[in-house]
Amino acid sequence: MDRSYLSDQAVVSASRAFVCVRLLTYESAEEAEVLKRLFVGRDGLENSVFAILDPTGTKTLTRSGRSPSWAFEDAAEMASSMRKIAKRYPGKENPPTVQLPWLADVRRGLNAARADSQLLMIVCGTGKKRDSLETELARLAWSDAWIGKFLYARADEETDWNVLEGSEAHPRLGVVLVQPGEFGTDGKVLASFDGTPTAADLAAVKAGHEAGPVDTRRLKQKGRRAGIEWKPAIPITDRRGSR
Amino acid sequence: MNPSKITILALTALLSCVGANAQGPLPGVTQDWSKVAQRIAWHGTWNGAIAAAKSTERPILLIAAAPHCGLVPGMW
Repeated sequence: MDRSYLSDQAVVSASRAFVCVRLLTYESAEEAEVLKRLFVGRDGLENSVFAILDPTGTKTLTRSGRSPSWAFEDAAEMASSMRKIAKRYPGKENPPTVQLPWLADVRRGLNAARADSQLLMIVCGTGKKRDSLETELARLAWSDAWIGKFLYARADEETDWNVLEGSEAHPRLGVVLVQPGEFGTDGKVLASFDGTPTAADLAAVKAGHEAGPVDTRRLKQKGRRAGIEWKPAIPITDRRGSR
Repeated sequence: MNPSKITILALTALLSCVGANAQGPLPGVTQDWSKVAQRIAWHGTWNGAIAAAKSTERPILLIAAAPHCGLVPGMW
């Protein structure tokens, strides 16, 4: 991702009027088809894709490409364009609370959370009780105080709790907050909550976690030496971005 | 190998993952997220995002990136 645009505070502010989605390239055949409708390079689906779409997800509103820099000179222009688009598509006056912004699963959630230097919130439970829990969490997650503060994944039968240090007593219905490991393939449980944590609970955990820098060059070298390798769900078709 | 070919290969390597495909600002440059006050709240799946967009009638900001560099995970 082009962080110089996406971490710009004017862009972040403008993004609040949008539904923002960051897909993990090569992790879903279905999503790959969506991305290929938006942008393809010489080799097919490229490592990164950028687009701004109407609320139906069918009409592109700016030039699509590999990154925001394909459409905008700089972050200020991107923020300005987004504000104009938001005026054309103001959304419902009283929109419903949308569901939590899920990653596809815990494994991918850990990876993305590490790349973002953020904590992963894993939601545990089944059935209607979990539905209620998720509704309460969604209100919290989209509130001004907590929007963009965590990444989210649902625990399921595929979740490998063995890679999460301190997860032995994870709740049957509740929330586990995880600090991802160095490569996002494992993690450490910072806190577990039965049911819905309060804002004070979350603040206490966040206070003990500092989002540090990610040195991609050093991490890549170290990972290669250690033989750590991610296995994408579908073949990588971008020869430039997968070496 | 002639010098121009070496230069092209070096530039290609430099731009992989972190440059041409917008995986980061510059090769080796760290992103200190502690200095970023607010972040974009990303949906992580297309189905989740399109459901949210249809229910709120809001436009969509879409980014896709592979969660690895040279298949080493933990970075965009």
